[in-house]
Amino acid sequence: MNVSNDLLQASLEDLYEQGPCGYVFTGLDGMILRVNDTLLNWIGAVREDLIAVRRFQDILTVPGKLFYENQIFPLLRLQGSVQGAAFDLARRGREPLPVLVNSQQRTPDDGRPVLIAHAIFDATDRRAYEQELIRSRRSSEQLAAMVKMSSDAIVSMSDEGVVTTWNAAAERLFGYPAHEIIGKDLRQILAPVKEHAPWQGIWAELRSAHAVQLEMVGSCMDGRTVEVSAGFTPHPDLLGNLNAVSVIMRDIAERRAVERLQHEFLAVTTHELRTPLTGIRANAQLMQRRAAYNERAVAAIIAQADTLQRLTDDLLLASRIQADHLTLVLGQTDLAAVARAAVESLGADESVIRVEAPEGALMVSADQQRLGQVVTNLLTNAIKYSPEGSKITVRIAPHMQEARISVADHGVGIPPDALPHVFERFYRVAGGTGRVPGLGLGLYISRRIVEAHGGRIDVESAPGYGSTFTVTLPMQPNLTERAVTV
Amino acid sequence: MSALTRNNVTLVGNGDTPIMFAHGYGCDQNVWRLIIPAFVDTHRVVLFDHVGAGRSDLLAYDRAKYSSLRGYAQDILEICDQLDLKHGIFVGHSVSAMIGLLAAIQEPERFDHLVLIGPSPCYINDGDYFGGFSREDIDDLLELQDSNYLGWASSLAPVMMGNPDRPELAENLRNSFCRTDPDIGKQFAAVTFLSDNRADLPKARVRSLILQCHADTVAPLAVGEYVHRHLSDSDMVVLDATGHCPHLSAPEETIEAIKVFLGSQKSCGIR
Repeated sequence: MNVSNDLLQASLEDLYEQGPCGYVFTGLDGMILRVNDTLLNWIGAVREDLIAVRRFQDILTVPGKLFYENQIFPLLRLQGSVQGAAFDLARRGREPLPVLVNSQQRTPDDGRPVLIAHAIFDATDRRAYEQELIRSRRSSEQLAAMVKMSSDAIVSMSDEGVVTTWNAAAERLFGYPAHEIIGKDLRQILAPVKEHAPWQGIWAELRSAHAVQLEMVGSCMDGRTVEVSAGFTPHPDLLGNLNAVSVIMRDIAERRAVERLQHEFLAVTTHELRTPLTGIRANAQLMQRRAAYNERAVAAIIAQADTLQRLTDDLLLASRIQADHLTLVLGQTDLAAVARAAVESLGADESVIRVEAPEGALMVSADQQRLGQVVTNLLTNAIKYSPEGSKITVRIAPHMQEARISVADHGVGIPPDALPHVFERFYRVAGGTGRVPGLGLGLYISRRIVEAHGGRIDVESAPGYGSTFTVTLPMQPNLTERAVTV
Repeated sequence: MSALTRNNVTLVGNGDTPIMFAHGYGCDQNVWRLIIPAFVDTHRVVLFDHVGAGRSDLLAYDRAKYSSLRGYAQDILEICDQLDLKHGIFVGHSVSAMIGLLAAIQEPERFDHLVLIGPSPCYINDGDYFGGFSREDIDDLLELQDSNYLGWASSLAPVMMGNPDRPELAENLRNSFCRTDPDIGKQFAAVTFLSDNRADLPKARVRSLILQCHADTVAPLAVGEYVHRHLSDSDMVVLDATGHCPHLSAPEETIEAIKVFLGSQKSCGIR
């Protein structure tokens, strides 16, 4: 090769001036001694603007000056060089230029540093990635906080079912603290409900990148089991292989209880409606077969039709109450008269149902028809749950500013654990000697009617000795007739 | 935990009068290495790292305590208490100038002299007050710091975090400076640059020297003059040195100014 030294020198000079990075040489005090063309182009300055006039920190934006003076300059003095410090170059009339700076103290042989050399790289792209990284770090911190605070159990596991994260709600649901369960197989404490697919089936779905939602049974640390609805979300890698799985679980005991209640209600309702229908059909067939009118059969048909009517009335009323569409027509009502009318409507005589009421009328502001319905419900219950011919007492008495009407029987009574629930919708006392007909709506409807009057209904019971239901109503004697929708 | 361990306190020197050096935001006690040789023969030199900086105990970092400069002042008083330090000299750089001032107001018997290098009671401009910066500048600084911690976290992040059982890592630290936990560094920056201690200046009764550099972008001359006006018993010396760290860029001049101040008995005004 025959290249002249001058040419080589000129090329190096060009490379220094025009190369891809900026160079700034300063004294120890920061005063600029030399810069290359690249840097001048970046910041839109000429040499006269900088040389011996400005310091290195003066070409940085304000935050950069602060950072340089406080963090980079001390570091540079203490360790002689600093690599990759991030700054922005201030530029005349343009957006600042993000840069990375490598700085080095130049120390001659006699040992005292005299010069600082800064090599400056355009870091526009890198800064954009960094911003993206910082943003995504922040958003992942937010997500992590949400998972931490969630009321649903949120768990993640490896492609082999090993638990990798376990949030606070999972700790509450299963009782296991995170450190006890992380690293263990989730399948040890979570099992599919029998009728659903087994774990192999779930895993097959997840491996095909399908989410799975199903009900499962979990085993808690204290030995209890808990019913959960579990949603499995697979996280496949780029090749479609299962990488990780996240699971969100929620306790469904309450929902399950409601479902069971509705299921039972349907069964009971169907049964209750079918009984009178069967009777009507049988009596009608009887007359058809004999081709003759039969007084008793017709009476039975009418009685059963009445039963059907009562059942459908109750259903309708219950659904109105549920939808808050119960309308009361309030008027001055004599409680004793209401009670006697109810006893009469049931066709029971004085020897079975005794009415004890004070002399004269006991007036309350009430919807006479609805209140009659309440007393009838209580009496019907008393009869249903009492041995044939056992005595039932209806007592009516004023009490302070209130009026009370109670229905006491000497029947089977109500077990203590059932007492708090007897006024709930669809609730029917379990067990007992035989099946007692009814929809489980009577006491619920009664409670809602009494409450709509601003009163309350209570029960006391001793199993084997009988029950007493007491309705307490405010008297408000001067209330005029009005309609109230509750 | 002893304050001496927590703040990585180093004691050197053979003299009687205690002189405590406090580093500012961004570094650790290493920044005093060019200054202390001038005092070891005549003074009892106390060096330390603020919690979160250098080789302090990071586990002692409490975000609530250190959300104000008073938390740092508390640490200084605890160090003084454990060393039974009284009638000493306090040399504080940058934010530590204010931290030392707060400590001196709270327990005046600890220090007879304060040397405040590049102090600023408030970095943010506020009405007629010129601090040099806007709130936006400081927010941008915090972002820039994020970028730096991302980029060269390897050289800034404390290796000791999470490795207390590997003392050999501490050996590696011996040759590295100004390491800061990124989260702590960010809060320290915010507390440093968003604090306003202007109301505290008149409360101090201690003899003080304000060492002001030429062309200091962090603590400009006008800020030094403000501190001088509001500190009742203060001198101010404007150094030939430029920048914010004269103890690193012009150690001889800095030492000379401190010694003149400590030798003088009465105020000599702006030199």
